[in-house]
Amino acid sequence: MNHPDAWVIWIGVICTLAVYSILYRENPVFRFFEHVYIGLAAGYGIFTTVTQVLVPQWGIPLFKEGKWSWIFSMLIGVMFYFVYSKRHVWIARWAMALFIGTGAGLGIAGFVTEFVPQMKASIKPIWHAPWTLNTFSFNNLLMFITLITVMSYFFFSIEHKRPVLKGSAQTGRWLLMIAFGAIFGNTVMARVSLFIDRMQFLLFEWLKFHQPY
Amino acid sequence: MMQEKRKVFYIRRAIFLIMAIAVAIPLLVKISMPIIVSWPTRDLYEAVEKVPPDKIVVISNNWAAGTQGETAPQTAALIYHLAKRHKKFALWGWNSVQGPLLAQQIAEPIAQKFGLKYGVDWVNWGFKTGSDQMVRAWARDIPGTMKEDINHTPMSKLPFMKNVRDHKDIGLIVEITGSATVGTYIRFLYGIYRTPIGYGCTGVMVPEAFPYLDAGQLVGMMRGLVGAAEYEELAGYKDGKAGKRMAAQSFAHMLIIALIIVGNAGYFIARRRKNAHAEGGQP
Amino acid sequence: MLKHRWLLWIIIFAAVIGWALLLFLLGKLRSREKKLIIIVTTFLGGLFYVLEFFFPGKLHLFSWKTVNNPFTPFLEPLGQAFMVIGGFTLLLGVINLTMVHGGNIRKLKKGWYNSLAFFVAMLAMAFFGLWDAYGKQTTPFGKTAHEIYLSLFNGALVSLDATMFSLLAFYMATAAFRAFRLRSGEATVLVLAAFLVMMGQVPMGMWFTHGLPTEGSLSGFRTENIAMWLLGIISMSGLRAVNFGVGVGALAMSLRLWLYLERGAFFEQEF
Repeated sequence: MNHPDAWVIWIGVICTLAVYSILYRENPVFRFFEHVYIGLAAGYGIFTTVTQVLVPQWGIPLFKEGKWSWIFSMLIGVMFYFVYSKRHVWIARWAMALFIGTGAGLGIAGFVTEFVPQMKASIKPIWHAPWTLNTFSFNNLLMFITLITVMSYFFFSIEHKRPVLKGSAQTGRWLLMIAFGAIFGNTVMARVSLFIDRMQFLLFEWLKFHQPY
Repeated sequence: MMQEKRKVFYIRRAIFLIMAIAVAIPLLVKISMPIIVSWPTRDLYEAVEKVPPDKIVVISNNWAAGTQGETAPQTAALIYHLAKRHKKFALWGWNSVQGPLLAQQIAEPIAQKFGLKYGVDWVNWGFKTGSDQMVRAWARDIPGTMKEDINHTPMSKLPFMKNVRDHKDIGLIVEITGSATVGTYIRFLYGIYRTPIGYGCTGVMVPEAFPYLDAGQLVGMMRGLVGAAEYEELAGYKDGKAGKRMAAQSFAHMLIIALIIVGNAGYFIARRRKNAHAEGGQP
Repeated sequence: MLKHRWLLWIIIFAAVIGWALLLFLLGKLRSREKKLIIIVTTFLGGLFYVLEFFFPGKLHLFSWKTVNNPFTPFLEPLGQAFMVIGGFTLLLGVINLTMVHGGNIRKLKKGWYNSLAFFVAMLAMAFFGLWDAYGKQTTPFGKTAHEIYLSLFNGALVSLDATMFSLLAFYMATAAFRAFRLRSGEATVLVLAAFLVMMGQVPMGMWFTHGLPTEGSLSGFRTENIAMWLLGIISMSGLRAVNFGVGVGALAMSLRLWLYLERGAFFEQEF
């Protein structure tokens, strides 16, 4: 946002402080602005879809360029609204079936393009000629062990009672904890970043503190 | 019981206040901290550098204001780099209605600074609905799928689009997102056409992206706010916001670590007291 | 491109009437036959994308004939059609919200004024946005509408959206203090990994090991390198294994849906 007007900043400040009021306790101001937020998001969704999808992609080709086949897109799209009718809900299901079918088809194609490279990348050399310490890759060995043990942890077709599978699954569980720890560490960074952005807005754009950098 | 509830109430509010102070102080006081660039960010930077002059960079903005703390600095750093190197770029989004407009507001001042002309050096295709099906169509016919830009200018009237037909004209797609949308590009752009894909994501999604980096399906990545700060360092973007937030980020991280340690210390002390009472036979 | 404008309207009218008639006739079918339509539609929808993907781009038949993938040219019109169909579903969520909040206002439930605020905000955003896009912007009202639209977006929506998500930082801080308990070895490993990753991401954490060299074997003990090692080796492999499981599950589910092997609410509902 380039040099916003003062009143735009004040609107932002009121909205920000109203939402932060929930941190003290539940209150009607927060609930009010929560509903305003949902309303604005819904309204913006309507505006964007109409102006950037429906009019240029459908309205202009159909009514301005005379491409009459586009009417069928509307007819199929409108079928979704029969979900609100108990008697004619099957019409909405027919339209949904189209999306579910294409989604399933794309899912099958997508599995190949997404996971075959992953499988290829999993096969890494652990040790190769001339079989010295320099050609031994500890990281690749660790990756292999982690992959196999974590996969064995999620393998439920056989009960985890046999020593090899049990040991492997337990090892995988411990290694998975490291992955979850890494996820948590990154989640902390993500959440805090969002608050830092708001704090910068309040301190520098509203209160006009001097920026030290 | 009431006393315990009040104690918990005030402890929670005290933690909120400490968090706010821990973030505010480093923003107000200059604490210079060197940024060490990690390899995923460096790889992304170099991938952008390698984009040939006859190809465009597509920035896919599938993020909203809810994640702007991380994704806005990423977008700004990337656009700064592209503008500085006078590489043509296009903005768009298909998962978040806000993304394209937020990116437009970031791009305009940077483009102006480097004398880039809208419609010639950069464009914003706006928001389009649909996911996999639409992206597959887009990859084969960009002007036909986009039809007009965010300002309702037909594609045929934009000089930028003169040599942009399909995926072959894209040198790099950088997906900046707060949700799991990069899979669509990996599956149907890289997977079929081998279009290079870069990634800018929120911190939560970083660990899940490493398998794709390892397999070469992603050429590089900005890891949340840290990644944005690293990218600003590489691009020489002195006015970037991410670098200025790293001190506050550091303090907040140390606070979380301290809270976990203090919380567990209290828990273990209370547990030891409880065990001692139980052994002593006292109620 | 049609020669006469009125011809277009006749075709549109005929298409709407024809479609309504078709749905009416199909509505007369028995429940089993309606389900069959759904099953066939699902299968055909998936079949196109599966065939398009697995059919070669160029198939050399014998030595003198080359066949291009016959399905690929249909990707563009289908993708564009799906984009428009998706656009027409925009009101589904809005209708739901309208039913809920409209009910609150009609029955004057507690907090009905919040529901009123929802409607005012939604209509204001949609109205001023649409006026900004299609109305006359050179008039005084046009300029005001533009300012109001930008204020609603930049001032209100962006601030509310960003602030709502930033609340998570506070809840995470209290959860770290009150809920994160090291009751087992695994929890300890998790927390240690989290500590190392958190320290390795921020300059202050990197400062602890800044005395170590940036190259050589000792550089591996710098906090940022430890964090990247955890992320790039162990976490990466663990999550790849999880992804394999998820991917195979998704493939199985896609196949089940496509081939009508799924016995769930979608296929089994009686009409």
